[in-house]
Amino acid sequence: MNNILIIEDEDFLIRALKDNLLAEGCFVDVAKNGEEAIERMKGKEPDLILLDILMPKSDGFHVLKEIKSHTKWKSVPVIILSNLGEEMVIKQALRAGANDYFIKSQHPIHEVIKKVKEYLYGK
Amino acid sequence: MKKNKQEFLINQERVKERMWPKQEILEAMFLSAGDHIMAMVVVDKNGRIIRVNKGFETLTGWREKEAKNKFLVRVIPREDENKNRVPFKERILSRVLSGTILTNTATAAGGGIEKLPTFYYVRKNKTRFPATSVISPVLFNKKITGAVEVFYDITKEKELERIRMDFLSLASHQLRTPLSGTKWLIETMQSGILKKSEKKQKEYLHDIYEINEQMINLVFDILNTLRLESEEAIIKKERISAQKLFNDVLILVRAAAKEKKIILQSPLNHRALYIHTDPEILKSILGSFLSNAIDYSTVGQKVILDVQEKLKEIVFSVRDFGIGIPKKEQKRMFERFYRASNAKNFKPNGTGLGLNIAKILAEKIEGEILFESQENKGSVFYLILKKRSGKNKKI
Repeated sequence: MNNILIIEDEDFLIRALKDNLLAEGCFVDVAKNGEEAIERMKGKEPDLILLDILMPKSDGFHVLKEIKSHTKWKSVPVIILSNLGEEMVIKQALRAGANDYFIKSQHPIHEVIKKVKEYLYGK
Repeated sequence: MKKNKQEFLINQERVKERMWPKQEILEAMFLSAGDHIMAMVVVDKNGRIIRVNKGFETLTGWREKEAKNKFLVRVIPREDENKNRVPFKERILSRVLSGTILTNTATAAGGGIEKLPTFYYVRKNKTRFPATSVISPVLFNKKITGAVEVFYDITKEKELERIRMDFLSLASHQLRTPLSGTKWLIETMQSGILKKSEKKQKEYLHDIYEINEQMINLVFDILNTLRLESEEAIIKKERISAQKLFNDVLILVRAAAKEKKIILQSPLNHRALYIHTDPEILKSILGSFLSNAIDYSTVGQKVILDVQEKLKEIVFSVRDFGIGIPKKEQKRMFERFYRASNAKNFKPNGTGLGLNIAKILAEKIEGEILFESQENKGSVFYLILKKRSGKNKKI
């Protein structure tokens, strides 16, 4: 019973990620900004988090740091989603404790799902 | 009779040419500064400064008497982007004087100012400026007896280049986001996981369609912006009646208004008002205001187009009663690609370039754009054109 939390503000990306994860038998929660994300986590701790690091109205870094400094939550794997041209951002995110990252336009979605499964079930 | 007079005048010219010393012409060229300050310096075969022009004094801060006889490479150090000094021996001037480079474009082969690697010259007061230069040896009996360098301050060009690069970078980012979206949506549809839900398939196709619309708008607006930036504007000045102007503009937006059942109103008290400006640009700006007003109104609302003549200005206005602009976001409205948060939800495929383009256009006709807005109450956008004094009054 794997519970994934998607922190993303673009509806069409939420749609694609959610449907693919549901097809794998995961439970999926969605938060559209940092605040919502923290609220959801207080309610139910996820087994993995997909985080869009550059949501325009929300600070993805702030959420990331909060999660990775929290005693209970810091062990939850966090996979960052970003765009091309954000190499600096990706480095920063990895330094801040993110476990992995994907540049959206460079990878088909099935690779993201595959990586999620690796983190959930081990390699 | 006529022919003789012509011959006489031609001879006069020839005599003038021979008599006017070439020296003076050269002096005049050398000393003049011109609009874009051009620095010129002449050095001897050892690289010591013989003469400089006013432009040199202005750009570097060194007076001719201070610079004379000193080594040019010492007087003006040259640095790269990272503030590393170029050693004297490696300076282009040194290489020109030693005959290593015969003729030269001092700043890398080919290309105009924009393509050259940036270098900086350091002024007397230790500040620096980006420059481009051309250095030519002076030859006498096939021996190098000196050199002439001409250089310009290209700060302005560099700034324009940076703005354009920033814009392109931002623009490509804006395009990439929707493109990643369609990639994943299409991939998901192709994978077959949606085959059991026709509803979901419809939703995906709708999303892909909307994203595609967004990209069409973006490409159009981006190209428009680039074109506006680079155009040497030939602004027309025509006399157009407010009545005709309004008719033309309202036709442009009639279809969009009809779709949303928006009621377009424009008071008729300005029949006699004439405006002296570029009508196409004016129509573009007002058309943009009207499109926004329609896009951000809800079904059945009113949009009012009006013009008021004031003492020194003519004020066009477009008022809507739609979603308005949140106060905190108002100061960013003319920023490229910026979209207010409520706008993004209301109309997903906006580009965020419309007001920026309108602003550039307004500047071309010496106008100003202002707005007032309240969230959920509506907005008014104003275009203010100054009246010209004297004969060409705007009415």
